[in-house]
Formats: sequence, C-alpha cells, structure tokens
Amino acid sequence: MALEMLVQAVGITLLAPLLQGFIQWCKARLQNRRGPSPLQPYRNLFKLLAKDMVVAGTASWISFVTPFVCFGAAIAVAALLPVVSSGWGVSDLFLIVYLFGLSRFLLALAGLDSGNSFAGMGSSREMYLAVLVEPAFLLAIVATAGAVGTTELGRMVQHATAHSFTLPYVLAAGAFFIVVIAECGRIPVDNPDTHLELTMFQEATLIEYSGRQLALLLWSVYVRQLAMVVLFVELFFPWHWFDLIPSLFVWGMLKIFLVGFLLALTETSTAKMRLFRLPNFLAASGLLALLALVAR
Amino acid sequence: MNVLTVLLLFTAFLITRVSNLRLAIQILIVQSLGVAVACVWSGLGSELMHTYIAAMLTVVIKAGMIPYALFRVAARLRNETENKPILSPNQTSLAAALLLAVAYGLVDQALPGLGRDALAGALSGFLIGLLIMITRRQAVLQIVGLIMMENGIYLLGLSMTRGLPLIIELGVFFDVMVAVIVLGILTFRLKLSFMTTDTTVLQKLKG
Repeated sequence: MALEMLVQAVGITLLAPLLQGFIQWCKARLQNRRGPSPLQPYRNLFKLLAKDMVVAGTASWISFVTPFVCFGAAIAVAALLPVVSSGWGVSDLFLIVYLFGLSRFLLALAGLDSGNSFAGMGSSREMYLAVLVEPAFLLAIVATAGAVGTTELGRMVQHATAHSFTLPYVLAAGAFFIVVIAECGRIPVDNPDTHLELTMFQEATLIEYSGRQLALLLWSVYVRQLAMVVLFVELFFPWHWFDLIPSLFVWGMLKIFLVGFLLALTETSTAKMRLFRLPNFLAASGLLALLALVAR
Repeated sequence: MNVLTVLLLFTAFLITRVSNLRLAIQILIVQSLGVAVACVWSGLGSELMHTYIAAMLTVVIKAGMIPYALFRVAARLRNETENKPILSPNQTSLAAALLLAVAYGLVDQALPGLGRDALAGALSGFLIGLLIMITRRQAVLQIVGLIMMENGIYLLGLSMTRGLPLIIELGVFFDVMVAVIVLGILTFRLKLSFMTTDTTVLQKLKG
C-alpha cells in the first residue's frame, strides 16, 4: 500500500505540469496562435529551480515555510486520491478539501507577509473566493456521498463506478465542474496567465516569490489542478466505466486530457467575471448540488 | 419521475434569479410542460383516459393561453424589469433552498411512506411560488409565482392520488385562467394609471 501510494504521488506530481502545458497549448490553438509547447511548464520549473531567490525585506518565517507546506499538501493530496487502488480507506473527502484549504490559507498569509500591496489584495481576494468555493466544493461531493453513506473516497469511487451517469451524478458533475474551474483558477473566475492587477487571485499572492520557492509554489498549483481533474474524472467519469482500450491507464489519461481540453474550451469561450458576480456563479454550483441531493 | 421533480425544482430556482419578465414566462412554459409530462406519466400506469385530457388541458392552458396572455402584457410593458426585489436573487435562492428543506421536513413528519421526493418537490415548488409572489414587486412576476403555486399543487395532487376527477381539474384550470386574465387586465390598468407595474405604488388612494 505504501509503495502504491508513493508511486501514485510521484506519478501525479510529475504529470501535473504536462496538464498545465496541455491546457495552455489547447488554448493557444483555439485562439489561432501557435503557442508554447506542452512541455513549457517543465522548462519553466527547471529554469526557476536553478535560479537564486530574492526575498522581500519584510518576509518572515511564514514566507519561508509556505512553499514547502503547499508543495507537501499537494503531494499528500496526490498520494491520497484513490487512483491506483481504491482500497486503503484513509482518503477522506474532508481531508482532501482541507489540505487544499491549508495551502490556500498559508498562501494568503504569505501574500500579506511579503508586504507587497498587490499581494495583500490577492490574499484578500483569495480568501473571498475560498469562502465561496469551499461550501460549493463540499456540497457538490456530499451530494454524491449521501447516496454512499460515507465520505471515504475509495468507497465513493466504487459507488460512482456502479452508478455512473445516473441523474444525481450528472447534476453533481455540473456542480463539481464549476468548482474545478474555481479551484484551478481558470477563466470565468480567475485568469492564470497574467499578473494584471484586475484579475489577480492566486498569481498575486505569489508575486514576491522568485527562484526555487516560486518553482515549488507553481508546481504545487499544477499538482492541485491535476488532483482536482483526477477527482472529477474518478467520481463522474469513472475509470472502469468503459473498456474500449484494454489498458485502463491510457483510457484514464485520455479522460484527464479531455477534461483539460474542456477547461481550455470554457476558458476561451467565456469572459472573466467581475469579482462581485462570482457568488452568482458559485450559487449555480450550489443549486446543481442541491438538485443532485433531491434527485438521489 | 425523478427527472421531472428535478426539472420542476430547477425551473423554480431559475425563476428566483430572473429579473426579465419574458425570460420568466419562458421558464414557466418549460415548467408547465414538465407538469404535463408528469401527468401523462402517471396516466400510463392507470390507463385512465381523463389523465390524458388533463395533460392536454395543461399544455393548452398553462403552456399556451396563459403564457400568451402574459407575453402580450409583457410586450406592452416594454422595458419593465424587476429592479429592486425585496430579496436579492441570491437571497431568494437561499430562501428557496431553505423552503426545500422545510418541505422535506414536512413530508417526513406529516406524510411518511408516500413517494417522498416527488411529494417534497411538489410542495417546495408550491412554497417557492409563494415566495416569488411575496418578494417580487412586478405584477407579472407575481402572476408567474401564482402559476408556479398552481403547478406545485397540481403535482402534489398527482403524487398523492392517481389524478383527480376530471370535473375538479376542469374547475381548477378555469379558476386559474380567469385569475390570470383578471390579473393581466389589472396589470395593464396599473401601467396606464401609474406608468409602472410596480405593485408597491398601490399604497395611496387615487381619486
């Protein structure tokens, strides 16, 4: 079990930048640009890992600790997801949600800690978003957990595999997709590609980081994104649903990149929302989750 | 049946967020069609002719004549929208979610054993219609709330019995139709005398 977890954690961590690169590549193609190669995030990470850091004058130990804790939390999530085997009974839903919560909390603190006013704005917005995303996230998954009677992810995935594409799961999938967009900082909610002050959430809190610390933080953001997509695929398009290709691994990867393409598609076809429209957007997620609860 | 309950609730929740009159009426048409399908569905089991007649009447009256009348009124009102509802869209949705919970609680306490989800869905459809009537200032949206309540009651009856006798349903349809026509005329008069259909202006006597 420990070995499987380790393999899975390393695998997800190593694949995460590829998904980010793939989404950016799809987006560029959809916008008639050639775009950077899907491997570009790896190159960026290598470049940043080799560089020296410049630390803000006001930064305290919080700024120092944050990259490591965020990266650790991301790897923990990657290890806990029931991908390779769904049997080990420790991957609780609430654990996953609050591992995300932990890294978000520390990022917001680090943003304030750096003394940069943009980073402070970013922290405030990040917390505002967290207040909206967390209930939507929990509601979307609890809507499906209600039918299973447990919040343990392995059992939930088994149940989802048996009941995929029934009405509650379809509704909850809609709810969860909105949460994925918000949690990954994708366009209707946040723009991951710019440092423009109007669009900043997560990028703003990272603004004072450089070198190795920035590399770790960016990497943890990518891992978090892949983890969300994997969770989405597992719960709503389960692994064993369709044995078209003999190797389930390839089929799983295909689905993950399909969701990546879907994210790129929503990102090119919608405009960034105003900050105060976000409650409405996430209310839609809450509504779908509520209906999923009723439909069960 | 589950799909239809969800459709009913989905449209009800959509209406809590809408401020455009025409859009609200269009959503109402979808909801009424859903009710008609539910009626046919329950008729499939029992092979009673009159459920089909009731379904047909639902389509003709609730998805045809009433929306037509409301569209006429809305077209004359031109650009009226719900500007300052008493509860904002988010608050109304939240209140509607609470009503859904209340409906479930009520069904569990008072009527255990019957088809729980359908019953609770119908009851909360009724309650949300009432909520819309209370919290909206626009006369047309209040009429929409009335029809939603009617749809809820209809589904409630449908899920508790296997369809009411035809003569009672005819009476109910006639009632609702007359009510809507009267309300439509009143709304139009309201527009003529006050230049708006905001019902909060109806506080002063006008001689």
